[in-house]
Amino acid sequence: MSLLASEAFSQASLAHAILLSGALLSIGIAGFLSRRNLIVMFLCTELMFQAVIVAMVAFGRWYWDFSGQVFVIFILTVAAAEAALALALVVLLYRRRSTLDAEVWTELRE
Amino acid sequence: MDPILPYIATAVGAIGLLIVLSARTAPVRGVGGLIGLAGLAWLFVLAGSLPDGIQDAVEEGFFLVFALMAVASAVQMISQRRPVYAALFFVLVVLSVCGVLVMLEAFFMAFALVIVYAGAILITYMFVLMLAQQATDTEHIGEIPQYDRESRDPRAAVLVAAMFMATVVAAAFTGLGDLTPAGDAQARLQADAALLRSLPKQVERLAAKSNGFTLNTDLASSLRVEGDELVLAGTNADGGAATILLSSPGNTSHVGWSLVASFPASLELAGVILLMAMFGAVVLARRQVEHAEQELAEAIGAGRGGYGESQEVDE
Repeated sequence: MSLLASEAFSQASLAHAILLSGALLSIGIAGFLSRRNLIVMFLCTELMFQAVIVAMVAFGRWYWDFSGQVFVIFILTVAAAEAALALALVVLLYRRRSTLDAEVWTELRE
Repeated sequence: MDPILPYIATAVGAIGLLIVLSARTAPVRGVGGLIGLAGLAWLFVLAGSLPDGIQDAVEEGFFLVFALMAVASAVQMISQRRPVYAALFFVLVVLSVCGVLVMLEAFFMAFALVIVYAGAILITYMFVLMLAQQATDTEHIGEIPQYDRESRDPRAAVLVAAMFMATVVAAAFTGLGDLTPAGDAQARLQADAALLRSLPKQVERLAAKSNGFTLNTDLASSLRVEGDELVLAGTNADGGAATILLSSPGNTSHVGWSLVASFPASLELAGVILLMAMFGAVVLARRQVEHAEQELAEAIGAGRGGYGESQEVDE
């Protein structure tokens, strides 16, 4: 017995979930490209993870297949690992230049 | 519906986002945010006219409220000038996404997301933010640094984001008809039955709750779907044939069984990834101390004189 016993999941509902997922991912991309604070840039990648989670769960709900939700567990794992490594890197970079500005590190691209 | 309408709605949303990212004053940003949300709401309304429409208006209404809340907080998050507020708005995004997951009947993932994301990962971010925001000079306390006040070329960023969104919109409005039909109530009952067949101990526990009921030895054939009920066949206390109705095992059982039965190797690999990430973080963030060796030598030298006597020995 589910809490909300809705049996039908229509194309419209799936489209809504996909549009939400697309909107969150687009905003994440826009934020990642336009913000200059290293920590906020990594927060934007976490936002993109949220978008992927919504898409995974929505398609799992469509096919009534729980692999989608299992993938979300793996996404959580990768997100946790990424947060630990990325924040360690940010701490390291901040110690070098005493700023969180990503533009300070532009010479790395040469 | 005109096929060009969803793209116009996407463009409206993109213009709103551009205004939010490049505006300097709060009222203009508010107007931009409203334009962007209006574009997204228009997209949702257009999607509502897809084949077989909206089935449950109340549930869909909740979904839309959570979705708009998530997107509004996400926009706030990328446009906030203070990173701490950005992190707090991200918590709001996570909570709204959890609401959406509940609407999609992924209850376990919704709670796991609150605990792991809003609880653990965001706290780590807050720690690092606070660590990095320590004002080294007392003159600039509370001042937002220049790199947080100015966005880097918001037009290009919004263009890339809008292109991506247009692709997603194309897929959502034209591609979904090609999918195989959705899993209906029957598919769901079959999934429940398949799960219970793999968990004989749980079925035994369920059967033990009804007095005098004895299970057949062959679980696979005695557990079956009849109409829209899960039926378990067995024998009564007086030896006659009897059946009991079973309830669905629920979301958490499904996810757990799917995890350990279908992806055991991935589960082990996930553990390795976490361990490596921990090592990596420790190695990266460890502070190199120049005079560590000297201090160590002093500590050993002090220890040679015995505890408590080291002061007198050195002098």
